[in-house]
Amino acid sequence: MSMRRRTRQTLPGARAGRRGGLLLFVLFFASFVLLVLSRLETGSFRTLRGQAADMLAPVLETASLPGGYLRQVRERVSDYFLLADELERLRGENEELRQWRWRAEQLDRRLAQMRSLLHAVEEQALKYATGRVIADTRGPFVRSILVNAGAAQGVKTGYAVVNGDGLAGRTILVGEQASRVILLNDLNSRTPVLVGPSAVRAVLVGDNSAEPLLEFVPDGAGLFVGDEVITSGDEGLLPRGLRVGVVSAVNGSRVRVRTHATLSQLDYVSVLFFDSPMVVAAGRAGPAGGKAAVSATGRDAERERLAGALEEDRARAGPAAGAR
Amino acid sequence: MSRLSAISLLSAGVVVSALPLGLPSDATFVPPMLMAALIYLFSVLRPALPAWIAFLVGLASDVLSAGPLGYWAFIFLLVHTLAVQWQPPPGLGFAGLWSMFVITTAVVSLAGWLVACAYFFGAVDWQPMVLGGFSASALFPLLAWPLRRRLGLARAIPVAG
Repeated sequence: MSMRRRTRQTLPGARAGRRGGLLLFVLFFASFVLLVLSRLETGSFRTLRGQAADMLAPVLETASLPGGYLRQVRERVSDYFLLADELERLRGENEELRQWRWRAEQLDRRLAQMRSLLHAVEEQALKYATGRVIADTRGPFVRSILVNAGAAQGVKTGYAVVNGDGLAGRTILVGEQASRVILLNDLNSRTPVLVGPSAVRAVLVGDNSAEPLLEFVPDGAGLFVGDEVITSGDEGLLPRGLRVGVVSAVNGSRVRVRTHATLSQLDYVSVLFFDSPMVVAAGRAGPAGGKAAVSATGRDAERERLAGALEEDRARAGPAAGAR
Repeated sequence: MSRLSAISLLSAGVVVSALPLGLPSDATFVPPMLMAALIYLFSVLRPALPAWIAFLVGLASDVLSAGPLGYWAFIFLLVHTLAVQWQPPPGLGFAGLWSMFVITTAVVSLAGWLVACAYFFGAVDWQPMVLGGFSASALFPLLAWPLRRRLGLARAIPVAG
């Protein structure tokens, strides 16, 4: 009798334990299944993630406001204490920049003359949309940000993202109101670049550290610390000549680049509307080139006509000033 | 602390850890590991946090971070499981709990690194994980302080499912 009673008492506990164990097994199994699916990264998976980012964007945008405000206050306080020194520095810089502006205008005129003499093909004028960074990533393998500019603002996948200092990354997922940007130091980031005065071709490869690596450097290429790194525009994915960074360390075949943009402290960034020349060409080729490409090009042309010369000037004077 | 307030705190933590905090690239593991410390604390308290909440919190972190989906779900689930399975030695009080958390963090960091290596078919940088683990271990007393009364009861908590 007493045995039976004891059995009755222990049974619910044992059942709950078994149920708990089964639930844990199911959840661990679900984690692994998700990891495998994530690794395979199918199109629908990407779409779902884009939609999730889009849905969460307003929450993140609101939540990031106090942080942004605090950062501004901190910057203002530090600016206040460094005001005199900063003013002196800015005066000097202003003088220098005036000379540079005059020289740039002169060179611009000469360049226009040369281009007309050579009948060179006109380069795309860079337009852009500026957005605020509303989320950052955490983890051992992803370096990306979420920006509150999406398809509604004209952003598409693969567009270059810059801040006032230089290239930061490119868009990989575009929602209606927000876009995910892969940063230059992300493990999956590959950016064709030109290095130094001799314009050595290489590929900037992220390894999740603060300073990405240069790979596929031709044998015998002389690279030195301080060499400027700019985008090469190879494969037509990014515009040519965007400032990227400078060579910071050369250890045998390992060359590291310190990016001009501080990738861990991005605040406002601009997405450059640069469609691959191949896509544009496919669009011009007619319906065989693909309907999406045609309509996109058509829209762009329409927008260009409407925007006019003022828009082009703005685009040249804005963050694209980083573009040479 | 009720289950609802634990869920609210964890949800707020997930959102805050996704915000642009301006941390250096080596410190990107610190906020999620602090989240792991919170999950550990809520898992040793009575009533223990259910495993599915730890899983969902991890999944939300994965979605917000755009990292591999299931990674933080796995890590947080592992933290919960170890917290529930490995009870601190009786009589050691908070020191015992802290020691168990440090051991749990070490195991979880190693497991996280192995999963990351398997995911990328290669060795990934281990330093951010170590830094995250150290930071969470060092800040554990601060996180546990508001729950100190409840943690006094936690020593007698039996294994929860």
